[in-house]
Amino acid sequence: MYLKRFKDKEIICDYTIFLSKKYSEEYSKSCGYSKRSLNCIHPTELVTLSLKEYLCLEPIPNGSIHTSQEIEIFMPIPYETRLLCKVYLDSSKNIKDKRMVMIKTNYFDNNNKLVASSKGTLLVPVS
Amino acid sequence: MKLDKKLQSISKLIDQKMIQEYAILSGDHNPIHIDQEFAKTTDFGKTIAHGMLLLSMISEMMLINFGDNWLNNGKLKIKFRNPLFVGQNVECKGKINKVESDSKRSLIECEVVCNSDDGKVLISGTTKINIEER
Repeated sequence: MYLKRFKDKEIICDYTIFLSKKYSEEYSKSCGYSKRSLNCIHPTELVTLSLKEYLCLEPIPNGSIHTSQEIEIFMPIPYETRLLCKVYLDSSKNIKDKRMVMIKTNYFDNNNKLVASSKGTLLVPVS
Repeated sequence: MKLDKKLQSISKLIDQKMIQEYAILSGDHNPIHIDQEFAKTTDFGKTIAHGMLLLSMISEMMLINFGDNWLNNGKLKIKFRNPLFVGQNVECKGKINKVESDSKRSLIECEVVCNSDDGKVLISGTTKINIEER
């Protein structure tokens, strides 16, 4: 069962991400953006890049449904920034044939300052 | 910033090429997004867009309406209500539903929604930004 080995509030993994200008250009292109910032990244871009790293460590089973998302930016995050992402199992419970998991990520800069936070909810098949 | 003011909306067509590109960018290669034959075997019957691809449109709309303030301190809280099928148009719109101001800043809360061209609500929720007074 997905993430069953973790208790609620327990850390699942941590990793670093690098928010390169090149990645940002590709993100803007793939999302069809008509306007982009010259200096800072989008909140959704941050979560997308973090998700990419997370999926390498904890692949999400096929058939899962992303049901909600929260993102908070506490300070501007410029391009070419490296961030430490700490991912937690915020809460989990079984609902019929699905398992609902809420995954929280805190993002820290080089000075260990919390610059952003996100929380996603997934409905994962119980197998 | 006035209460009930409508935000400048955006709309776009989400095609399979866009979904494929987003799959590579995000590393989310779930076949429900990228494999049309697999999608036919599911309840959906067709490939569907990644939720985070749709959510990127709300971020774009907020940047268009509030500039870098959105990137400096934006917050969002949304629910994914329905899937978007490949080849459909999406419209994102919003309105200001709360303004709290003092001499230093304004806290603005917006109600945001993404709809498909067949009238289904794909995403609904709220966004918040702080704008420093000059």
